[in-house]
Amino acid sequence: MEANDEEFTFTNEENVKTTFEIGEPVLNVYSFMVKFDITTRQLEFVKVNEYNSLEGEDKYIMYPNGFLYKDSTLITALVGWGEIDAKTIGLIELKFSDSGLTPKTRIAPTTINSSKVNYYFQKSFFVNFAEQEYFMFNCEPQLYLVGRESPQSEFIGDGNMPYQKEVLAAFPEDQVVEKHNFKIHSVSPILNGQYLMAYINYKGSPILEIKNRMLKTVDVIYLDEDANFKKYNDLEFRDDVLISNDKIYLKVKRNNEITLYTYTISLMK
Amino acid sequence: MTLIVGISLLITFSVKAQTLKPNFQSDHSYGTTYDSLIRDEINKSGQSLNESYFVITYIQIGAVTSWAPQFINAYKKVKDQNLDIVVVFHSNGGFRDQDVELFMKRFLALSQAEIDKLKIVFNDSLYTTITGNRHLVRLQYYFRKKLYFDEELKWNATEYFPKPIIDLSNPKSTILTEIDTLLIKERDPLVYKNASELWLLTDAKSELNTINTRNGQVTPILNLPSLYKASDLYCQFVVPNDTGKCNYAKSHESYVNSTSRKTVMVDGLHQLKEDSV
Repeated sequence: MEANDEEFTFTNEENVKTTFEIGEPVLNVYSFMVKFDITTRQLEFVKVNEYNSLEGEDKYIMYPNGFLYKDSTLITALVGWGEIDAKTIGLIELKFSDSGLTPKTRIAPTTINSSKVNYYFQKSFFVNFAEQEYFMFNCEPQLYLVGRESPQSEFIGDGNMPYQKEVLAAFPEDQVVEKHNFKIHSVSPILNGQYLMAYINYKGSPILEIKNRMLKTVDVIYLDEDANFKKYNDLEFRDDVLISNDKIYLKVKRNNEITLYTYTISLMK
Repeated sequence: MTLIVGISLLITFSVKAQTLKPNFQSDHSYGTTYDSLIRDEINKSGQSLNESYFVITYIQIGAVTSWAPQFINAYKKVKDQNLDIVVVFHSNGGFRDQDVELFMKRFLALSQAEIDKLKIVFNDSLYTTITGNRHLVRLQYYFRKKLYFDEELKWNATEYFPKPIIDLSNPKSTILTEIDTLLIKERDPLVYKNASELWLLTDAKSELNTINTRNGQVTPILNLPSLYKASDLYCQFVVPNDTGKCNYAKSHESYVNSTSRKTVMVDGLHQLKEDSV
């Protein structure tokens, strides 16, 4: 908690104004990267310096759920939460320095317009596949190459067209009528990098979509009849579906016990 | 081995709940699926059908000059895909079933060998159901028993059909032990550690745990909120040379804690390679 050093007025969705006076205690958020050495149990804190937008809008660095860490630089997503309704997302490169982790340059894709960012952005994905670094985020189906503006491909689900008309909730009570065509939950290369597998909520049903190295969809596996995934149909976005090293892991809670399920991914014989 | 952990001081929260219902477009018919209807018809005739196959519909009462070319186009598109092809005929008002082979040779440009490979169904009601009660030559692709592609031949077409190539074996299950299940949410993220262990980051306690995937044992590894108060980190890293601001934060910390707000929260986890740090 800090003493407020600048008076500002906040207006909520119901047009109720709240003014924060100078000197009044306010809560501020600070972010850190922490390196943890498991062997020595040493912790090293690095403060993340916020991004000062050249466009005069507040932009917030969203490293938590996905980033690319390479050669002492970190690439992550930058979301324009300072816009009236955040509707853009892009990438930013940060470098480690004496003052902490400091934003250096915007890198492509710098501005992806998406009306869903404001309410639905939760997770970004950075995946090394076919000797390239790809970026995607949970609420849109496109795959971007890090360093290029335009998408290279997209997840298409089971290809069943036309897509349903999406209904996006503006308020929490609208969530019962929400309809999404695509939502990426997890993505990873499989089978020695031959394929890219994504766990997707496609039109409300869980599927696995598999792309080849040319990013063409080569297989789709429906999971809505699987007892463990079936219950996902009516549930919200989940972070705990992990695809890694040719396995799919998920936790399921039943009768106050949590069970870890491990599926093995292989080529069909 | 080194981990990198992103944390936020004070509080960040988000509410992103959604409720979604299954909505496989037009692949349901009164509690059953198109695939099950087609499969029933094939089974009745003593034939078998793979999980992935094509369907071409044809109605005999239409004008041959208009619809036969559409059938030929559909057939050419899929004949080399090495999958079953089912032809569903609507025969009401057309010629006799036994004359269909002759019709296929003369007007649909099929050889006897090609006809022998087809799985032919005469069922007006099935035709009506899967074409949506419209008189059409329609090409459909059923992929892993689901309607994947449904084309009215005059519309734009896809040139590409996926095949079932990936197998997902039945899962092994392990009950997690030595864990307070009330403090584990189903949505707490998992991160791969190695062949026998996963990382588990809990939301309730912002605690990093390992899960032994063989015996399900959960072991706490790091709990940052128990090691550091928010004001400790603020004083040390945000205002290291400003005692006044540090004291201000410390003097107000008990108030923030009394509201049960999380003041130190771990947001994400990324495992670095051993040689990268």
